[in-house]
Amino acid sequence: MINIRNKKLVKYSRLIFLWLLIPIILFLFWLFSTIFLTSNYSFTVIVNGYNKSVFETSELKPLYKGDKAIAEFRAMENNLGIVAVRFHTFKRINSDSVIFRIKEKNQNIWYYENKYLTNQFQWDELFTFGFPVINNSKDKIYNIEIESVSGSSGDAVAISKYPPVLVAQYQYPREKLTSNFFELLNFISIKIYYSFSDLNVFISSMVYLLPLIFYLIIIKYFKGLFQPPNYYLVYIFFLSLLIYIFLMNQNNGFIELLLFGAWFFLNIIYKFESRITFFIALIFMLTVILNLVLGFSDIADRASIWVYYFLIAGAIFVIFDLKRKKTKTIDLKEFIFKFLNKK
Amino acid sequence: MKYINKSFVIKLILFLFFLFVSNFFLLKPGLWLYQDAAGWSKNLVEAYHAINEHLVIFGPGYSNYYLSYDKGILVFLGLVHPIYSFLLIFLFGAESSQTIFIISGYVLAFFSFYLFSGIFFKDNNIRYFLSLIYTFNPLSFSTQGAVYLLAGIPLYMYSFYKCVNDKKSISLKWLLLNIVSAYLMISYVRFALINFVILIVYLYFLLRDISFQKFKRLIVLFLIYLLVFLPFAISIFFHLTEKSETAVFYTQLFSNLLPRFEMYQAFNLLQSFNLKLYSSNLWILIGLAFFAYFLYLSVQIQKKHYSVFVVLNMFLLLLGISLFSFGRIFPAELHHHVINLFPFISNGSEWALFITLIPFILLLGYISQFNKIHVYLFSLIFVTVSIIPLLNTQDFQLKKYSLHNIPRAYDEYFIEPYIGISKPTYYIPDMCWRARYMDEADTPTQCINKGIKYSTIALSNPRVLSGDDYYFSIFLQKKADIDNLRITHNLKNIIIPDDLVPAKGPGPLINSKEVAEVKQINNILKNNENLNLKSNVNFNHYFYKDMNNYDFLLYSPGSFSFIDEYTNLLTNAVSIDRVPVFASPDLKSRTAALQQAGIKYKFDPLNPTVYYIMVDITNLDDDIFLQLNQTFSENWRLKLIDKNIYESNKCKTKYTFYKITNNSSCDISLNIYGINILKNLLERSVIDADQFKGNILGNLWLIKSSDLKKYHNENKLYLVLVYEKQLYYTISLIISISTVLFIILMITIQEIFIKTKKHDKY
Repeated sequence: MINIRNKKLVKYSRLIFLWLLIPIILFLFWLFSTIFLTSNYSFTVIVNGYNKSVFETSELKPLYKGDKAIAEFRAMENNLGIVAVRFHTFKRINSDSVIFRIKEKNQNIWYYENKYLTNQFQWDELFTFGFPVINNSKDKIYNIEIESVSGSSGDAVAISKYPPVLVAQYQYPREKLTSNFFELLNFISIKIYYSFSDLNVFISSMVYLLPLIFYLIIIKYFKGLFQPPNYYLVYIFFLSLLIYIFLMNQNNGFIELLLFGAWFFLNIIYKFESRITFFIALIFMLTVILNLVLGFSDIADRASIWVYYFLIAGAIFVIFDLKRKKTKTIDLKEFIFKFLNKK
Repeated sequence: MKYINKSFVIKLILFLFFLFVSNFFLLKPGLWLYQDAAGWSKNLVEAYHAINEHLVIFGPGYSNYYLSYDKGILVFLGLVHPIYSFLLIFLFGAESSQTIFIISGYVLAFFSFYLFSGIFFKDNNIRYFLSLIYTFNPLSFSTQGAVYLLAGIPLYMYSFYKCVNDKKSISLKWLLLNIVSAYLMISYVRFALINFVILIVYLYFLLRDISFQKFKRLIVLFLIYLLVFLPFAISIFFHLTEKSETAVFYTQLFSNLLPRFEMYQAFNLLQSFNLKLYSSNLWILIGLAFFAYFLYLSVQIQKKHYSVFVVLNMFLLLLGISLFSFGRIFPAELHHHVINLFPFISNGSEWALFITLIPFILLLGYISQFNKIHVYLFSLIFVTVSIIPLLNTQDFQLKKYSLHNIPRAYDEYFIEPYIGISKPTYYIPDMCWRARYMDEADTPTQCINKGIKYSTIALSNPRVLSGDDYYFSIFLQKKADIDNLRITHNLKNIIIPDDLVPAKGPGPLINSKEVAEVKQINNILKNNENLNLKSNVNFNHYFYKDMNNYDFLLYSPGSFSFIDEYTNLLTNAVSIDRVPVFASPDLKSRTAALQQAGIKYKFDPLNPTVYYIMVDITNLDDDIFLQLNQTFSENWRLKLIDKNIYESNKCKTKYTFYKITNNSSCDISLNIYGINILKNLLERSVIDADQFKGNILGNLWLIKSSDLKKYHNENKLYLVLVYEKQLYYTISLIISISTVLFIILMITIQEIFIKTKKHDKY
């Protein structure tokens, strides 16, 4: 009697562990990764991006001495403290300086003004202009001006073409959030709202959901944990990867690391031979070429990063193959047939 | 004769065809003065200076910097290039020699790789095609004419392999070739480091199963290396113990700059370095297509054929790709650490591409086991396609310019052979500029001035100068109030172009704003009453009216001018009549009782590391200061010598007397770079003179009156100023050269012995 009870207990414990505990952990991983890892900004910062239409200046037009890039935007929240602008440096170190100014629309005097050396600007990266936090900024319209001090031909920066070209950052006081639970909940909901309104964050979040999806598929369909009868996981992996490459417009190191790790995981459970990884690198290489021909250089650039990752992975798998020369592995032909679901 | 068959003839014709076509632009008359290729010596004197620079550890360097500097690890690197170019200029003249130099580099690279590939592949046809790729590819075209540098690794590895694996004992012939190739490998500081990275991998591969017998050979080889490369070892030893910044300073300076390329550029096999011949989208696509083709061929390798060889080459290839695209893939914070490990990528991660060349070709060779025809096809198409841009002789970068067409003034000042003491000169904006005639001829900027006649007092090149010397040179750029530089740099001449035009293509980055600034400075200098002007159609040559009356190279100061920051140096012009020296205010308390002594000194203009000095003391109760306007270093030793030693070094020229500074000097020739004074230095004690920094960058010694009383000889003091490291370096050079000569002698004896033995047999 006691034995039967114990067996039932073990069975329920196992079920709770497999179906509740681990999924909760993976769910929490998704939640925290989405909040903390999808963004380059601090937790207490809410970020809102704007596309090139906020600027009067056309993209990639070099700012020569006295030229101004003027933008106008509506602040979505209170506590505006930083405006970041994406600059194009023409792949060089420029010696010009720019004067950054900001004021509320229709005000006569500038709220803040400072000079910055352009040699700090990174090619097509956001450069942050900080200023004293404006507490009641919500729904107000602000003007910014970026003026070149000594820009000349061959020594000037421009506004980048890559969105978002302007990012407004709202810095919430940490003390306020920690002292009031409801304030914190309200802040998190706003943060999630703004985060998910960004396509990059949304896609990143989906990638962070991969471990949970992988896990659920594994325990749902497999009798043994590591005996996959089909290529569902591989399909999901490639789908995520393609979404990341084709739909996101910025790179996220954590996601790349996660996807890279996922490919390792798949190789271990499916016992792929290394040639498969090289073959995928080749396919991505062709994708790079095709996108360059079609003029999608951003996609080509992101796809080429995955050529690199697959080559690195392939080289590591060669070492595995050297060690398991006599072990049965899935070869390239078999992989292609199974992937295409052909017998 | 057994090699001459139809296949051999076809391969020879194909090689000569590629050699001719890829060097087609070089066959036009004139010099190729593109970027570093502009450094080609225009005459034998320049070529000789270039060799001499490797014999003195402290000297004016390649750009003839007036204050000279400690060249650290750079001194022994690159000895092959100047010796070989000197030989060619002697035989063929300046213009033809450059063409022969470059073409011979191609031939050497080809044969080196052909031999090297024999270690891994038996099929001669495959070796031939792989060698074609190694020799005729965009990376070899872009080493600015120094294609021979590519021969270093293959030649070294092959000769090393032969030395270790020969049946009987180490073959001296291969040993000599091994030494020569090792010289090649360290011929250029960036290549030396890149080669080192590659070498470790292939040495591991070759030595991983070595027997004890062969291990003993390795020890012998190591000992021979130690003797032959003792100067290099010594320069590294000093570099490390002194924590010298020479040659690594630029790494710190540029570590904040993170070059970023589009990631796909890392796979572009038609990527050149410096020569921007393949930068259009079409060429990028073709380059990527070649990589895709290579990947396709790689997928052909079956699991059962994987080996350590494949793994090592793959990882080396990926290392090169990773370093090239570091800024694109990894966080910027990591860059600082990586740049310390691989300093050659600072300020130009394209250098990492040179890591990829050998592993890529060897992998291609490995693939040939499974798909020979494809590898032949790949090689032929790749070489043919990559040569095409070189046929456009009208391309700006490939244009040559004849020395005969260089304007008269440039020729007279910067090209005509000059033997004598170089004249300290301030160049505005710099010693290399783009002149109008270069625009008219539509050629790349020619940096033809090596400062042999007019040496520069400022050198803003962080690859050679470091620390204060560099920052001070930067500070000196485009200044108009320069009279005090007579004291700190012995300044006598100012050269400022009238025909300066904004930069076009690579070279000094002067924009139109700076051109206007230079004109403004020229107008200020015209109003400087201390200066006379001698102008020509190309530039203005100002010189100080009293320049023949002062010599601030080595003098005894009569007064002090105290400044706490070097940025204050030029604010107030100080009269030179009181023979001042600029020093830190900390020295105020030490300068109460000083006398301005008369100085006579002798030195060898080719070796600024030894000065024989006679100090004429007027008053034994007052201290004497000695100022040497050469870069400050604690390696300078001020030592007492006997009167007869001073007098035994006979002057080649008459003493020239300088009224204002009350000193005179003459030229001497030091035998074997001053080694003869070593004995003397070991015997006599150092005079108890305190050393300080004087005139910002120079050396100032205080000889106390107590020492004057103790050591004077009829109110005269005989001294020698020596840059001590030079002596150790000279000894190491002698050991190195003797070892090489000994090996050559042994080879000759060995050859005679073998021939005699053969003759006896018959």
